[in-house]
Amino acid sequence: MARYQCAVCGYVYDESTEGGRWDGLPDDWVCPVCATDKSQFRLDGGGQPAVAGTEPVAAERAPRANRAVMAHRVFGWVYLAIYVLLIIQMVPRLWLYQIEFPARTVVHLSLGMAIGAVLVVKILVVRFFRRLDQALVPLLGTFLVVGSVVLIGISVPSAFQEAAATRRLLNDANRQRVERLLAQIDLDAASCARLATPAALRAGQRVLRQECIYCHDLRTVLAKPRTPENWRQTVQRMADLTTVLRPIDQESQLLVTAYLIALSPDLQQSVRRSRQEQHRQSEARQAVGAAAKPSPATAYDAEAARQLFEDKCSQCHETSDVEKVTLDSEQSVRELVAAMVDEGMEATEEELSQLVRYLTDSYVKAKE
Amino acid sequence: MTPLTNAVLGVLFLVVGAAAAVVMYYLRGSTRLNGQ
Repeated sequence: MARYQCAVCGYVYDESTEGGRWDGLPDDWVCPVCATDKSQFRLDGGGQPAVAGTEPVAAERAPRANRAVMAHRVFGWVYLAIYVLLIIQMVPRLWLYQIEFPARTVVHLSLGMAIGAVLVVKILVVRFFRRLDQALVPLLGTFLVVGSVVLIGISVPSAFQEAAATRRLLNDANRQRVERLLAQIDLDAASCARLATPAALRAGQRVLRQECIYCHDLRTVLAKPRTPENWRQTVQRMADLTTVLRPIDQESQLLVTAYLIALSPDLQQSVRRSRQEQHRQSEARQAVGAAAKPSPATAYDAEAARQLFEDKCSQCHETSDVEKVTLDSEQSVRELVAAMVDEGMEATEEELSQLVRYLTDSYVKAKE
Repeated sequence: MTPLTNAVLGVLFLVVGAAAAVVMYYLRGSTRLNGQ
């Protein structure tokens, strides 16, 4: 019984263990490891070509090719292990959704499942159906790599962006802002401090992701910034709706409220961009009218107006943002206040008048 | 698993898959088939 070694990958065909003589193998038989044909085999030990009249052209590459085969196997198993790990933690999430999937999720899902199916077929061909190897394996391998590029390309960039945004959200200034605003919903100082820690805000983020998507798309939650009290009421209302199927406890409600307050500046920025044109429409015009009404009944108190400005405007953005806007007349101030009303700022007509007066004195007259 | 861990694993998945494909092309592309 003789042994024949593949000059490409080093695979040994041993007649005594393979159960058949080398000469009895069909002409189109290929190496089960690297799919090279019979002409690339040589008699083990003797160095003679296994097929008369041929010389293995890749003989000098045998050790390198052997390493390449091993590397391909290792990469393949690692690829499979990561795939299984990702599937195990992603598939259970599918049962949480009660809404239609966004288009990107559908593509991600379909590609993920297709990659799984192709992996199974490829493993079956390599292990049990070697005759199909040459025809199928390169195609299946190419599909896997192209599918992986698309799969990762449509999902990973947004995940990194979200991670960067979360890191921004947890900076000291924003956490101090959250702590300050939480006091407006009647929480004691200790609770405010506890809910504004990075760990608590991350916990709130988890509640938002795990609980809120149970019933609806997050885009409806994050459509516009709200005041702390407004967030608290919204969360309370949602919790009341879920008491039967999936109750949200009091602590989770507070955690998610704090997180939503922390999100408000980003939401404000996003809404500002998307509604830039709408600001000039009729609703805002009506609000300008409301803000413009003089109120002689109440005397103007500059310090009270400054405090009002701090309280109202810092709920959604830094008060210094006002300096980025061109305020060159009382009319431009009214338009700015009207835009803020349109964004969701809640204030009485009297408070709006105070704000207009304060901003006019501070940013228009001060320049004159 | 956090979304960031998920994303890092995704990138690793892609890199390993691409490396396996490169090795596959090296092996099969450098092999003379059917004695041609």
